[in-house]
Amino acid sequence: MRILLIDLENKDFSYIEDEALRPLYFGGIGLNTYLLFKYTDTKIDPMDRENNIFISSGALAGTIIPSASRSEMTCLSPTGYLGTTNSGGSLGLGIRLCNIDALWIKGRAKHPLYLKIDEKGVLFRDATNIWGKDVFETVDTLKKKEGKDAEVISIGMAGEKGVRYASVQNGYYHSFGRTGTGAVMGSKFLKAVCFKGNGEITVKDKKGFLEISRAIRERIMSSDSLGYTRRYGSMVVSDVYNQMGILPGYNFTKGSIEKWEETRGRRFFEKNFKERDFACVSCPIGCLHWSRVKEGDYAGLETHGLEVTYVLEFGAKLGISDISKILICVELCNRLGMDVISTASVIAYLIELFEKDMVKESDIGFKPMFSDFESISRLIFLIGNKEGIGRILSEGIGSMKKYFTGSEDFACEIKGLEIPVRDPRGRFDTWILGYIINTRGGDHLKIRTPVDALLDFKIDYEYEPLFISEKEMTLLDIPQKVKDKIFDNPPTKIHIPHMAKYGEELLVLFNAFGFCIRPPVLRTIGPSMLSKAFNAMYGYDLNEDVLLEHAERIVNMQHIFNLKRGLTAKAYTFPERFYKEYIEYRGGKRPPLDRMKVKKALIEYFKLRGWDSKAKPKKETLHRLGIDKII
Amino acid sequence: MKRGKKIRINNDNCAGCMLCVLSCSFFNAGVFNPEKSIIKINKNDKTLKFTLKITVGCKMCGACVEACAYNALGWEDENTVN
Ligand code: SF4
Ligand code: SF4
Ligand code: SF4
Repeated sequence: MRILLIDLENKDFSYIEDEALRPLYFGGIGLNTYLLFKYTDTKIDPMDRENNIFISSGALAGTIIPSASRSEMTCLSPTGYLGTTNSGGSLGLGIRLCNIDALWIKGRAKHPLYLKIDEKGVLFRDATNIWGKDVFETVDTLKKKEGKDAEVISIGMAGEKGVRYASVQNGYYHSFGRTGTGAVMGSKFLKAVCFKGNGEITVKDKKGFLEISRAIRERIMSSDSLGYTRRYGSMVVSDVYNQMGILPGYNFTKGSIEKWEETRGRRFFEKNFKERDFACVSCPIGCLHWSRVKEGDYAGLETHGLEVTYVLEFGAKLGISDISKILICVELCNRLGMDVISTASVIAYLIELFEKDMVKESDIGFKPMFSDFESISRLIFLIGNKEGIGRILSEGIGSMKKYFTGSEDFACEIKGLEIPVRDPRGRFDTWILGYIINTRGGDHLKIRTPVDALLDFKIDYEYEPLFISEKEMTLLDIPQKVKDKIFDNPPTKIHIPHMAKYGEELLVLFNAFGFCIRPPVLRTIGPSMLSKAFNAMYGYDLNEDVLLEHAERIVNMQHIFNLKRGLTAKAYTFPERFYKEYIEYRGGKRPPLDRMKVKKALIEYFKLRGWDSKAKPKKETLHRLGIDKII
Repeated sequence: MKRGKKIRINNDNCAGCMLCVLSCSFFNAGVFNPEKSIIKINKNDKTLKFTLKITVGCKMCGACVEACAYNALGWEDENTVN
């Protein structure tokens, strides 16, 4: 593997070549985890100059393997724990055309810089004139200067000023959203990185590679989920969330919202906003959309979207009913360079603090209200610029709750990361257990079941029912021995802790290879297809068991990193709101989560991971995975 | 799909996935590199509009047409080709 090491302090660079890492860590989050684990001091402050940023393309990015476009960015997060975030677009190809697998950025520049990278090396360019500019202006300027085909990742004001959930934007519309990597980039005075290589991406076994890429494509294109994924993108689930009562409405106090489908539903969006589809590089699915606001105050606005995350965060968590205003909130976040989920969550928390009289109007300067675009957009602006109340809000809920005694119950974060998109009380399944076990904190993107189906069921905390078609069942690429553990026989239900373990490892592999986790891919591709593609590209002979074992090691290394940062089993819990309060939804009221049963599922997961009940990996686990030799 | 004599381009359908470009480069040069592709894509990353062009040296191998999942590339109907 070829890792480009960049020393910002001395404006110097070198290459590290180590092929032994490839069959163990692949790329993406795999390689980043290894580098973080091995080279980042766990005693430092996240904003310390000693913090490192790792950016790796997925191992199969830049090729014709369908959907394998993605890259991962990793560092010690401002949350205090593992910071890691994924993004698509054309960046994976852009990195690989510089004839590198990854970037390791260390040190702190003496003044604002941006980097121009190609296959020959790195130029350190002065960024004083773009420091203070928003992301769109920055990308405009750099594309003008470095060429319109340059891939640009950059931070906005939020990253420069150290908002702890600042994102790194990938081009104009894609984001490395979660865990505040933008703040770390800002602390290094690094405004942007431009990739403009003309290298070559080579393949060991061309015939085999072509065959496996065709096989993968055929599977993806035959998934039942393909049609609706392209048509609606992630918006496909918008209506179902409301029907099931799992919206995060008004800071997780309402699971359904009146007139949701008519104002924020998928058909309403399609009919009134969607203009056309587009795709990340190498992807035949094309779940992304271009939208246009046709009437009202914002008529004429054209932008990327809508993603369901936007509508769940700004539309439900904050209650904004007008899609054009939701699009404006997202555009503000993109320009300022801030994670949409954390931004919306922090504002929702503030509004509840205000409603409960724990913050006064005089502290803010105006009244913050749910459903009120004026106050919400003002708050976004204040956070991004760290002005006024924005200074406190920029700390994130994990820090803020320490100042507001009595607010812990509704401070909706886990391990310092704000909880996204779904109310946990609607159904307890792999996704929801994933919120508390995720190594990067409260989030839904690192643990998934490939057989997710959003239907209502009676919660039993141990199993979720299996609802997929016979055809989809035959397309599943799950090793038989894993199936035997996860499903009953014949398969009717899913053992949640087992699926959580497998789903976490599967997503490590997807990420390390650069794959997308949209349903047509997740349902049809698994360890055996991944290993074949990897073997053909790089000339190895790894099988699915080996892949899963490597993924297991990677998860453990992330976890140990967090333990060294002081994480304890106590952090593996939902905010008290979810254990104490009933949730209203259109079917009535749902009870809170059963604390003991959640705990039981969690302990079962720890056991399957080879950890003790305090989440400490057992000696034999470390030994079996060979981690004792790396520590 | 029946192969015709000329490749039809419909820019409005293009999703910008670059599968045609990557396929052309792989089929013709054995590596992935957009510069080595005969079919070129002009991308506007801000408006997400894409324009395709087949440059000189096309072997009419059809790899680009086969790669496109968005009906932006196809074979001209034989009747319309003279
Ligand atoms: S499915 Fe959507 S998000 Fe995933 S790679 Fe394709 S276009 Fe990008
Ligand atoms: S038909 Fe022409 S442009 Fe298309 S892949 Fe073949 S050589 Fe390239
Ligand atoms: S494969 Fe089709 S959709 Fe993709 S870039 Fe080429 S023409 Fe456009």
